[in-house]
Amino acid sequence: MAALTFNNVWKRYDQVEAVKNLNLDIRDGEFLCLLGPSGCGKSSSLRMIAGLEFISEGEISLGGQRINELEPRHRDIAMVFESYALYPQKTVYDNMANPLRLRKMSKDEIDRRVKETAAILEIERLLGRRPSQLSGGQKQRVAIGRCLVREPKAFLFDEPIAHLDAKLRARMRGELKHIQKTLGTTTVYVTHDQLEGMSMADRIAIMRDGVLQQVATPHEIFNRPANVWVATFIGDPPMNVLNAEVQTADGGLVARAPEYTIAIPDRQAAALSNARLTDGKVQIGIRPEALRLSQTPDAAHPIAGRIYAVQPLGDVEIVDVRVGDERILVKTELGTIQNEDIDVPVFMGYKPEKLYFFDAVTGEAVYE
Amino acid sequence: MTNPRTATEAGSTEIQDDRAAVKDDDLVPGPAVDARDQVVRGRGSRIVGIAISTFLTLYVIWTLAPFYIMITSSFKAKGDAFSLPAEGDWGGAAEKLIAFTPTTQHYTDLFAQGEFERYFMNSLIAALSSAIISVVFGTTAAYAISRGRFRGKKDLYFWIISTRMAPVVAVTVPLYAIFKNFQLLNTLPALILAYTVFNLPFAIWILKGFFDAVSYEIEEAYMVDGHSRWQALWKIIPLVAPGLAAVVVLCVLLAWNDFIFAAVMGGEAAKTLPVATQGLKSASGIEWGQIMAAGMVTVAPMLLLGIVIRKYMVQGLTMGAVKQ
Ligand SMILES: Nc1ncnc2c1ncn2[C@@H]1O[C@H](COP(=O)(O)OP(=O)(O)OP(=O)(O)O)[C@@H](O)[C@H]1O
Ligand SMILES: [Mg+2]
Repeated sequence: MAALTFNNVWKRYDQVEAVKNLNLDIRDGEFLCLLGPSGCGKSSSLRMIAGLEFISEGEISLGGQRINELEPRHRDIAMVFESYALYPQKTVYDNMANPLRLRKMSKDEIDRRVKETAAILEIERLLGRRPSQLSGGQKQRVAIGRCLVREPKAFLFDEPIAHLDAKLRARMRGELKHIQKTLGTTTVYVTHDQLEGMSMADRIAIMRDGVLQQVATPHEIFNRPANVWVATFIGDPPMNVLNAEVQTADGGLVARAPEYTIAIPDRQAAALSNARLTDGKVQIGIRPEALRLSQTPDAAHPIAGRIYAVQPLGDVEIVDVRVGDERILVKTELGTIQNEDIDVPVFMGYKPEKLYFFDAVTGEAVYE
Repeated sequence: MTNPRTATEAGSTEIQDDRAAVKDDDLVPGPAVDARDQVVRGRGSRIVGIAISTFLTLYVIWTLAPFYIMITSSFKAKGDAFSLPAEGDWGGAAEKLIAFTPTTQHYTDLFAQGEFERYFMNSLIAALSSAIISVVFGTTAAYAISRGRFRGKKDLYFWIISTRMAPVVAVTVPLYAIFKNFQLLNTLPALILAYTVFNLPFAIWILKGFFDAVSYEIEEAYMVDGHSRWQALWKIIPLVAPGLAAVVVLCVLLAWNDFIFAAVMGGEAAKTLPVATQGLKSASGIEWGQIMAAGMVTVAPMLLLGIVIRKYMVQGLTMGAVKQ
């Protein structure tokens, strides 16, 4: 168990800059999720911790000790690979026992640990099989097992449950979180699935194109995203982003678009005038679940639009509304609107405190 | 008492039942389709089947006839081997192929008169040494090329293969000059080096394909588990074993069957089987019996090697072929 620190770390492959000046402190015992779209440099970061990629620039330290030059085997780290990387010629048992045998552990101790871990992952029946006789999901669980049998300084997971079916994935999220909390081992978990990040991590680090966007608790990431990109990346369906212009009206500020005008709450007005937006251009963010829908126009539903499509999802539905050239998603309870035909007029309302404002040029969020 | 008519009727209904069964199978997916497939093949492609069998039979005769002649001739007394049947006496000709009094005279002559055992050992040492060197260095080089990320990798790889493209004769003369300078002429090391010149690029080429087929993450997993890089390489050797088997066989074959290098650079001190066999053709005449016996001695070990390692080799050669 140990804290893990990235200090101005860069990773370059010939022309590609995969990780750009990464600074990140992962606390002892923390479950940190590296989240980002495909190709943003998550695996590269993880592999630098494991010692499988050279660090182009900067420093990574583990437990206060610089590990840049340390061979992988001396780093005392366990890792689950994206492609399982099971040893094809070994049985599941031997796959899991391999790291323990290297550590000169007694036979009984190895046997106990392998069987314990196998029980947690429900792969006891598979211990005698070879990887070629396993399904993808089983392979993945064996790979996780090979990682969990050890007591390393840190666990590294590279999309460990991406290949499981939805049901098993939901269960494994719970299992992995439980195991991590029980063992208290520092964990870096790479995924592009925000649900995994939100549900398991103590903190999430969001990356985009090799640049760290924000590090915060899942709650904070969701409620106070650092910029418009993070805001739209987290949340399903994604946050609506509307383009508008900030203007003064009646002594306060309003955000004006051709189709609607949104009053800017006082607490954000000060920050917005201080933020010195370029040409007053602003982006307004509203989460689909923060919007109300009505089929009759009134003061509480000031934004008018027309239905583009309706997607029912069990007890809720997602209404896709066209407003001018823009489209707005509204998540609402089933039956809120009676007539769901295309092009039927609908009206949207919002709570002012649920609005987000972003600098339209830099994308930075503007908070009070 | 059975009425013959009923019997035929019963027979014909059976046939009809068969057809009905086949028709039913039509509707069932899976193995049943295979069954119908067989029925069709049995009826329709009989001619093709016969043609294939005929062709294969001819091919086997074509391939094995020289062996047969070599084997029988090596056991035939001199007179027997060259006695010709009367013209048009086909039966006699056939009989000559089969009926003779076997003698091991040629083999005893071969080993008693000359230094044939030494030549055999020379062949063996040259072939095995070159194969071992090629496998060891080929493995490490192929591993490096497969796993490494460095500038000019493709060019290096192509250059390695391209050395194999030069005709043997083109290399013989410069090698001769070099070996002369280093006073290696007429020694076994000269032959081993010469064979390695050809075997090593080949080994690298084949083995790189095999290493490419092994996911690098498997080694990475070993390293993270606590193995060194060398240990990780050692651990994945079983996964490229078919490639190693193929390389061993082909390297041994190249050296074992070589004539030109051994003839030019081997001299008496490093005379190998093919050169020695050629030496049996002297001014006093051609010792056909002994030549055939020598041929047997040359072929037998390779046959044995082939049988022992066959399973791996087929796997190895086909996999390598697909990979490239
Ligand atoms: N060995 C390599 N050589 C060259 N470029 C590479 C190499 N490995 C990764 N890259 C590039 O670096 C960038 C980051 O890759 P990385 O594998 O870290 O992404 P990732 O976030 O893990 O993506 P994914 O979710 O698809 O696994 C990508 O643009 C990728 O093309
Ligand atoms: Mg990745």
